Amino acid sequence: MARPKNTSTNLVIKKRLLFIFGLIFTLMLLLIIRLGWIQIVQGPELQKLAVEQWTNEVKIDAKRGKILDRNGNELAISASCERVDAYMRDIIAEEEKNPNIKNEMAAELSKILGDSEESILKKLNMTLSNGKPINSVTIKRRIEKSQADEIRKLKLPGIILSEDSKRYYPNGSFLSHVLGFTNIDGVGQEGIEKKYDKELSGKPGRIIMETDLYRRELPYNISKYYEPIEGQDVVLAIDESLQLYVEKALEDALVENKAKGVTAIVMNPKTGEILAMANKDDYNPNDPRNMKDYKDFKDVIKSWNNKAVTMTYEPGSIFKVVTASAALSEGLVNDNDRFTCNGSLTIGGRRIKCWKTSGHGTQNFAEILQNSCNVGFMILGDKLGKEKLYKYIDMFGFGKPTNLDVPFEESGYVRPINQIGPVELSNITFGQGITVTPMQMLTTISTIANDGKMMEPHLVKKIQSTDKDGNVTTVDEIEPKMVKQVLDENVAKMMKEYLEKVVSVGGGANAAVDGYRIGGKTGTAQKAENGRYAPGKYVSSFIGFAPVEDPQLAIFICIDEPNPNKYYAGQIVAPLAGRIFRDAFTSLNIKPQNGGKYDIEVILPSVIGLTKVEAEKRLKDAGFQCEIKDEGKVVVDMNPLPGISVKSGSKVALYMGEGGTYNNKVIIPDLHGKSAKDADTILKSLGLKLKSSGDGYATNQSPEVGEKVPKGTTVSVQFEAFGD
Amino acid sequence: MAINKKMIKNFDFSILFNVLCICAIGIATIASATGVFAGGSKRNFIMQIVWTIIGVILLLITVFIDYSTFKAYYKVLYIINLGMLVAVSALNKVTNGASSWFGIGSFGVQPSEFMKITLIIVVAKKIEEFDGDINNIKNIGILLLYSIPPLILIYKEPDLGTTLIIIFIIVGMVFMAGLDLRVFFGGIGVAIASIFAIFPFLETHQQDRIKVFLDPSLDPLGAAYHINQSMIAIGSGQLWGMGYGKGLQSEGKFLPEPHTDFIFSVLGEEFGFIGALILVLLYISFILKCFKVTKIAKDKFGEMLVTGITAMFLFQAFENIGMTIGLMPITGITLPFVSYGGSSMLTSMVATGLVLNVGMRRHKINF
Repeated sequence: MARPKNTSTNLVIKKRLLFIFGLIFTLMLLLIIRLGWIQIVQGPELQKLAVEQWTNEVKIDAKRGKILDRNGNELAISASCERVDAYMRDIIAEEEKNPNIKNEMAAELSKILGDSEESILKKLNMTLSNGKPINSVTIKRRIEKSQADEIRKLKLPGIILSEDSKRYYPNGSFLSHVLGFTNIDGVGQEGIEKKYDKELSGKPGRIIMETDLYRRELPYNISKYYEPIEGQDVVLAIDESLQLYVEKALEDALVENKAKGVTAIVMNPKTGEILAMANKDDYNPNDPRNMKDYKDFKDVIKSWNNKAVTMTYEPGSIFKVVTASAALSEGLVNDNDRFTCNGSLTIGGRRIKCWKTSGHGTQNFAEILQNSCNVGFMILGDKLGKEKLYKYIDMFGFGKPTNLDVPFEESGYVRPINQIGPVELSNITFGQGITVTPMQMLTTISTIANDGKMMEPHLVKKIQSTDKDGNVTTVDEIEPKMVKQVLDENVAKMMKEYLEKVVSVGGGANAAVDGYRIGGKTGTAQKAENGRYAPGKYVSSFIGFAPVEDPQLAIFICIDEPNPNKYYAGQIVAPLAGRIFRDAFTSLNIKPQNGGKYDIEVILPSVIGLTKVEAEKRLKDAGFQCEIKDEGKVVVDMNPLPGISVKSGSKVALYMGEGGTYNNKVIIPDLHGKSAKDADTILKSLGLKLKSSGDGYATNQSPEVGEKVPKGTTVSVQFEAFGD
Repeated sequence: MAINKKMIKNFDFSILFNVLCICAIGIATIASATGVFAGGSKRNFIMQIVWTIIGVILLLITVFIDYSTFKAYYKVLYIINLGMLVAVSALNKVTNGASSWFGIGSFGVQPSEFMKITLIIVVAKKIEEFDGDINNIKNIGILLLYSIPPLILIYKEPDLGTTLIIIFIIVGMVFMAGLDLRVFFGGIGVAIASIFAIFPFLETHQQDRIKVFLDPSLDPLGAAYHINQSMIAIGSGQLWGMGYGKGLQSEGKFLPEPHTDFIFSVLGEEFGFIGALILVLLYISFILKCFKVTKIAKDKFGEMLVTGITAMFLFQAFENIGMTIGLMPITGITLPFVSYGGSSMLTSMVATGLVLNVGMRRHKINF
């Protein structure tokens, strides 16, 4: 029954077999016809094209794109100069008439270019590996216009002068570590020049010569000029004016502290944009291989390092922000917790000292940050345990590059968790036994400043291209990219407030700028060398952000190996941070709070015993308003009591009465963090006496804050240099 | 399974000789293309000879095994080969922007090459099972079910070339199996429509190649560079060629991949129209010889197997040569027996072995 179907199928198959044979023939015939067309009809023309391409084709470099700052200021540009090439076909043709032509040319060119005759002659005699003549050789690149004009006058055969470009950094060493530089062939070697080489370099073009040496038109109309495609411009997030301020500040700091190096980075914590990044000393990208200041070329190479991303070091106390954030996030600490520091703590059978060996006494959480108390942090570390602390170390991105768009970035070293015992854990809580890069510390503080959201840092804002008419089109714009939410928003808010106190009353006091709320943390770390801490070698760092209520800046600063006579970060880095903050507020136009007026808490001076007029004058001068109550000649009491910190401008009630019966009690003011001079002024205004001991900033006082004492009491205050 | 006298008598030596002639041209051209005469490395030249020898041995082994064995184990072959494709996409070893290489030692094996033959076996087996009834939805569905997973994997590598070859092979096989012409042309219509539909989703470099194929003046230094340089090379060969080892295009490094994808351009430049014509004629003779085996095959499976392999050679030769002369868009398809490369050579040899195998066992053994 299947028969009929099968026969019909067989018939169909036979037809199709025939069709396939036809298809094979048709396709192959098509190939042959096309081959014949190309090889026989178009052949001679195409062969000429091949020969022309071989002998007369020249690659022309594209003009490299510019590097600009965020406001369009030029940071790296390509200046035009000229190049000399020799087209061998014309020279070989000339050689038939004048066998000595190559020698003559080499002599002439040597005079103008200053290169040796032999080296030029060698280039003119170059051949391919198989002995075939080479199409062209480059005699010299990047020559001056004047030299080019001299060569032009000689009218040498086959010598062609054409435009060339030379990389030029108009501001010299300014921003050098970020910009990088190019090699002689215009290929980026370091920095942005390397990282964005593809975008900057463009596509080379080709010239296929139209006419020969004698300017005859060739019989074939095959000449082509493929224009090079110019490189794209890279626009950085860097703000030129801020960068200038930062570099100035760093130069001064380098000299003042006789330091080995200083580094600073300023970032917008909301977007991850790097606004300024500098290391001192630096180099001049116009002449990066200059040996003037160095004996060994290795040191020259070292000078190219962008330490903001390549330096790895034990951060010391600035790392406490990580431990503190971890403890807060895990809900292991609140404001009622007390931490007692006797100057050391024994952990795992080993006594680990606090930087202040006399101890910090009993402190709350805010105070261990303000005092940068190592013992307090060891206790936190103990509460946290290594797993929980490591969770945050990992989330803040330690041990991994931050993915900043630089060519070389270090990761730092985080010891594997299985090698962490109680001693190692304690050390990490205050930033020892772990290495970090400046960039990692900056992203950490930025994350806290940006409500716990970590943004990916980036130097480049956008890539743009400019056409011949000068029209600029944006090719690519780097959008702010959130990496992850590291901390809960509320935890970040709490951290911001604690860190504000470090600057307002704690170890970072020298970073304060009037009119602005600044948060931050200082850290002084001994440097390890050959597995031991090296005496007299420190790295002092500061991380911070401002303004606290709406952070627009996050900064990192460190001074590497400052003068060992004065090395505490609170002494040397905090003031530098203050200077950079002040400059940044100006150049980025960040206004102080309340349109310039800042809520300053002022210690209310005592006016008890003074006459009404005198008392009113004293208080007005100090910025208070007065409200007179009762009748009398002199002030017998006041509310609030003198010694309390009050917002300047607030109202003070003065109770008048007849002399003799007045309440001469004052309240002991909070002198923590004040210098001896400031403390003296405050106490004098209250009618108290100062008995000082030590040097630096107030750390301890007796009687304690808030006690009511009669005027004339002596307050003994202990001063210490802020260690950390 | 054994080989008897009759089978040896039926072994078509002319096909093997034809193949070896093509291989010889390939080896000679590779030597020139890799600059052996200009003091370049002889590695590729020597390796191609080694691949040819291994290939011939594999061909003979293939001939010994009765092709019905392949039929019996079609599922095993299919699963192993599919597994290799999955492994490749997982490993993602990138060469030339495609992850089609399976690193074994210092050589690489391309599972997608072998998939061509595996799918031919699978489709041939299935068509035999259908017993002439190809025109029903269920059976077409079965064929699609087998072909689509490897096609997607290969396309994703990305290897557009091999994907196209496999499509062409299957189309050829179902055509020969007697697919209703309305269905056939309907399918082709849908395919053409879908090309327009997927065009926006192709990789940029794939889009560029198609655009440039339509208009080579678009981007003479970018995507059109290959085709322009290839045509300059072939054209400058003219009638008699520039002479062996004297081609300017490959020497001057104007030609991209002169020893693999663009080997024909080197041949055209150095041996001229005469040389190119000889190679094309050798392919015509080889493909026709193969195709004739379909008529003497003892069963449907054998017939379909040979049809698929013939379609493979036809498409590869036409597409590769066609792209060098601007007849076809540029894809990464190799020229069988001529382009440098082990996977390509071994696959082509095994395929030829299968054709000879079917030809030898044309009559039932126990007569």
